[in-house]
Amino acid sequence: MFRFIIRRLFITIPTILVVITLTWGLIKLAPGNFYSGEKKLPAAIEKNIREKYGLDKPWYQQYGKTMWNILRHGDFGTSLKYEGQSVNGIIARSLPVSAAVGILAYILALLIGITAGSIAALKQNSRWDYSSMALAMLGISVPNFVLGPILVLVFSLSLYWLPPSRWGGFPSKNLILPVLTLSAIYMAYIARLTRAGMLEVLRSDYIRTARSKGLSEKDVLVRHALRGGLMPVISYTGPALAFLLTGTVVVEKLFALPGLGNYFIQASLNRDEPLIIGIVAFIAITLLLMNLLVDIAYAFLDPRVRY
Amino acid sequence: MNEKRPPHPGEEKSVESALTPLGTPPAAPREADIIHLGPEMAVAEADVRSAETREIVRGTSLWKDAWRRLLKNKLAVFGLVVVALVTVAAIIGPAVIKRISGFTPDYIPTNDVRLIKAFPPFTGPDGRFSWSHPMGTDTAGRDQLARVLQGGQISLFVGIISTLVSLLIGVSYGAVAGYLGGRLDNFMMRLVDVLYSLPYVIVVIVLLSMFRSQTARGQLILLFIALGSVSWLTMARIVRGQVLSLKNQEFVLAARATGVSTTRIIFRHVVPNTLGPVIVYATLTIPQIMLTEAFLSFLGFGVQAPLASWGSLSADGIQNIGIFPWQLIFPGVTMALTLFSLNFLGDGLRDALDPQMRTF
Amino acid sequence: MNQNNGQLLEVRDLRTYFETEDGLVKAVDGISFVLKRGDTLGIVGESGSGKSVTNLSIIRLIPDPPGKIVSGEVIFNGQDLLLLPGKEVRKIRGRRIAMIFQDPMTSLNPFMKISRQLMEMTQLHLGHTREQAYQHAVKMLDTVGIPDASERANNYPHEFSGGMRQRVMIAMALSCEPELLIADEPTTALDVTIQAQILELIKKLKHETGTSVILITHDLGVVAGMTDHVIVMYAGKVFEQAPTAELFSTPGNPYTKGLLRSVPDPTAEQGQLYQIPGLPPDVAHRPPGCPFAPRCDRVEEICHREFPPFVQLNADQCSLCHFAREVYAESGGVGADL
Repeated sequence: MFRFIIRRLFITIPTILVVITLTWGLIKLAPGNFYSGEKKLPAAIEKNIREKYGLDKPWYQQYGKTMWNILRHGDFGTSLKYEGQSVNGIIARSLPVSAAVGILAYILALLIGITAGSIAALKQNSRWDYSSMALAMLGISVPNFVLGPILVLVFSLSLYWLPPSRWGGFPSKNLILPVLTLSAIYMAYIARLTRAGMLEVLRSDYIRTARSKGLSEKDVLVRHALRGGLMPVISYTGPALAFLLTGTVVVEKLFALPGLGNYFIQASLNRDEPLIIGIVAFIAITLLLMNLLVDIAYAFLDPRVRY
Repeated sequence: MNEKRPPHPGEEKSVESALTPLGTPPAAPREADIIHLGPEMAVAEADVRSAETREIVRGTSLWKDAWRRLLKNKLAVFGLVVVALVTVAAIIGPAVIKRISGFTPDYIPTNDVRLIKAFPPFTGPDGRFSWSHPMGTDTAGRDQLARVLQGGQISLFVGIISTLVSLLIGVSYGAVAGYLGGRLDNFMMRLVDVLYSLPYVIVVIVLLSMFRSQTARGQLILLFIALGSVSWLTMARIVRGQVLSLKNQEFVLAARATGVSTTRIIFRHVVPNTLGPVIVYATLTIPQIMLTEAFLSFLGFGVQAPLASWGSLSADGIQNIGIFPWQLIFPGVTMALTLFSLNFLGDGLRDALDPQMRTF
Repeated sequence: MNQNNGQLLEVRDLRTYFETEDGLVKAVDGISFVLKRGDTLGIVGESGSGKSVTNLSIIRLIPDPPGKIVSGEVIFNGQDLLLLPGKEVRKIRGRRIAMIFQDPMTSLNPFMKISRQLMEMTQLHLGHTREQAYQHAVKMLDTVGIPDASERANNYPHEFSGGMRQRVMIAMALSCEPELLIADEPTTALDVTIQAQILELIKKLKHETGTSVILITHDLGVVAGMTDHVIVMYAGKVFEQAPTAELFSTPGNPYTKGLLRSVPDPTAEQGQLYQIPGLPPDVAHRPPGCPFAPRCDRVEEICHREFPPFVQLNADQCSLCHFAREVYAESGGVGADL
């Protein structure tokens, strides 16, 4: 197991480097740059700007400098658009916002999804089963940028129960709508996965054995079925996290939250090279680590998995 | 030592559900039995079994069986019907509307800014009930119905073409990896593993924001490639799993024995027999891609004006959500309905092509 | 519970039907048999004959939907199990009637240590504490022949070979010293050499504990070596029942004879192996008349028309056939009044 982890980490590092390089390359190759707006700048000013930011140097020098800073000091530089603010600083400030919304959303999705899915599996083909699966289907089909505004329309603009946007710190009422909007689709997926996983497990031979031993249905479910039935949900956590990120981007835009996603979009639009690279690298590292954790958890839970 | 990632449930399933004997008499089922998915296989199997067997057993081809099962599934039929309706509406809708009321998606009634108003659904300029704008208009006075239908054209078009792109990449990749096996397979699948855990969409966003095309058409092509390259991974895995199981089947050995080239074997013999899961997954990929496109358009990176997709229409609609909620609701609900139906259809297909174990 | 003249289990006219896409499947359609205390009863039949469903019906493990025990009585020690409330049946399962299944690979929970799977039984039914249950589990593992029982108890199922796993299942089933052990094709999934070992084990344990056994199999060789009485099932019905020795020496039913002929005889000359022609019937759509008629070598017109009678050939042997007596006589049976 230990060797597995080490080997994985070994692969992770070059992967991140490739991602950074790829991103850097894309930015450099793209037409346009961060300082040009509607009007064309006079040549002299443009020259000054390029000198100031080292953009006049040959590309391999720029690449080398960027990578050196990253690898040596973990320093992603300063934002080109947000004067004087370091990329690391921006990430550090905006991360808690995104993390709060994201983690809460996923926990909510797990709680409700697993419960609903398990009950649906137990009472297969009952009214509960059909209605919860229909709801789940809706959850998958309604885009979050449609759901969000509708929730705002109902709960903020009509009922005045909840604030429609802005970040109110943690915890606060401002969190409720963004978290709900973000978690909807995951709730739906997890409910369906749980139901499918449980159904499959409940049909298996070892559940029949458990029942033949005289265990009550509750014991059969909790002690025997749950472990195997939740495996798909655990596997799903990996890709779910990736999608969670993109969902966060939308939600932050909808609710005007100063999170990582919002900064990322702004940076992309602004061609803010250091910030883009910084955020992409950060996200890549987080994802790869989380996936590693998920695989480790999976190994723990399933004794048949061998490393 | 083999340091493969633990097999996640989706993968195992695709291998197991690969094959089952065709035309097995219902009295002798077993859980881990194998299904042959292709019509070619059906013929081969029937020949191999003896004549007496053929009398007793009702020989139905897998596709007919699956179709019958699909039709029994009311939700799937509902999905199929709605998808068909929406597709037809999207294709001919704008033309029909143009003939009936003269509105096109871009038609702005007047250049006089003072006269432009956004009308709620079924309201005419004088505020009374009118058939002219069943879905209302946007702030520039353009008919929403026409816009939503055109949005449908674009959204569906992008969804289907991108799915085809991802199909192409995924199936080829998976088939090659599965068939050739060994170290190449190992390497290819590890690559997939790595790509799977990357923030793909993030890089795609960077790509799209950097390389905004000048023309709307160019942007579309960019989108096809970008969207297609996001979803091929799982398809590759599924196809590889299938191919692995099929690889050692008799008909493959027969083809090799007669000297058929490897490429031909892969693409003409093996791939058609993976059709079942591929169709299911493709049907389920279309709504996923449509969602991704919508979200990209919503953020401003997707479809550009003057073209509109449901995503960009929603983005526009959100601007005025407090005053003119219908501008978001109509495209949003239409999109949700279409995705809903596609998902049901995909689910139904999966149930139809992957029969459950008989219960006795 | 009275002794019921040494009868442990009596099944009367059991019918279990399944609602499927293809129609109503009558998996078990009027089975009756008796098991005496201390006996081993064999249930023989091809796949789909209904033998497994019979057993699951006895302990009421039929998944509902789509299955349902439509009618009949299952009288265990004087009590009709089909009439008991769920809670009471659960008390009997595992404690007084235990079951082992065909595939030990999938029948054990892969996520649980086997010690825990065994302890569950005694903790539930005998009220053992964890300590007691653990000791008992190790003892049982030892009894069934698992080497280093105390260490291996903490292993997971996948760390055992097939034969070992089946021993574990047997240990688990016999933990509470049940009165009846139902073994559903316990050796079919195992190697031939291991098969013999497992069967010997079952025999040995049966002698030591006095447990009665119902052994389901399609393998006549197993039946010959292990059982006292046999019932032969086909298409959800009992086609013949007899004491084992007599079934083999003087079968009274064409189906039984066919089965016996199918057993390869190593002393016979080289030639084609005999196989009963055709396939088991589609149990959802049974034509009138004898279910075996399409495949019988003795078939006559009446067989297609009328359902055969259940003929009592002698004190212990019955056969479901229009020509039971003739077949019986041909095999050398005496005592049937012609």
